[in-house]
Amino acid sequence: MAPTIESVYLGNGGLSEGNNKRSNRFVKATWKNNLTALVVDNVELCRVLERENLRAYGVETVAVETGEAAVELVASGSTFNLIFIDIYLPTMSGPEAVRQIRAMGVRSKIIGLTAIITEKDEQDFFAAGIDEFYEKPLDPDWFVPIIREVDNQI
Amino acid sequence: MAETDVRKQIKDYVQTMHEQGILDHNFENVQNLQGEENPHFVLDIIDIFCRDAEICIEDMTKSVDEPVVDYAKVTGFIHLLKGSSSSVGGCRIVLACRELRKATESKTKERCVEAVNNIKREFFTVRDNLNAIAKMERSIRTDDAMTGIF
Repeated sequence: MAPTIESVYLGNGGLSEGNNKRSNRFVKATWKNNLTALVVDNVELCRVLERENLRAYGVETVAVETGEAAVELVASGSTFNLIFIDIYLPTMSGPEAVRQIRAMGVRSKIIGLTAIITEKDEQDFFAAGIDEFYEKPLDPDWFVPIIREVDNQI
Repeated sequence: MAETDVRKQIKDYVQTMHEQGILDHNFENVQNLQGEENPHFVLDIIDIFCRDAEICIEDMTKSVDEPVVDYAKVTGFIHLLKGSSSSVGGCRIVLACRELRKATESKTKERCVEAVNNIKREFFTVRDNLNAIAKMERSIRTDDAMTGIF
């Protein structure tokens, strides 16, 4: 099944589909590089908020619902500076999706997300290859420094 | 009523919700994502949250009412509800979810049933307050539409 891409925010101010133009009024930060992110979350509300939070901080963001969609997107050649991925996904789990993405040689910053952090989940997710692990929701207090770090490393 | 007046009403209302511990700063993060290009964002988020949380709580209730409770399944529902509740600032639902999580860890059906009932109470409180905010938001949209007509 082809990955479901909800929408893409283009840094030049437009959306990739329809006539729904977006200005740069959202951008609460400017970066040295054009940064891109992939959000993987099967909970619609969380997925929308994660996507919009990243866009508000000037990160071109694609959002998908499943681990399979994320793996397929990366396998098709799409590259992302940041990947935010929920641990509990239907069929293919977050850790399994991360394992497959890392096995493709992807070195993007991968941030694992969960509603409730447990020691076992933390161990499993880090063993799969994430770089950091946070409880939802995305909060600028912790995700903006991550974006800044990635921007500085490019 | 002028939009600025309604915006002030919403701001004061949200402040009251903060003071009562019903909503936390994450709701303001949602509000901050609304703008001219997505004027219905807060309304959309409230609608999605209320719809999906209600379904989740219904499924949760059915699960804990089973003769033999599938605690892993209930944990899945907790993740879903806690994730979305925390995203909209529903901090009391989040606390109630934590209590249910502890109940599932103790594998005590009665504790789980009690915890789910508590989640329902907290959800109804948050839902009613979010719907009040949604009503105020809609009044702005209605005024905008009328201004467009005249």
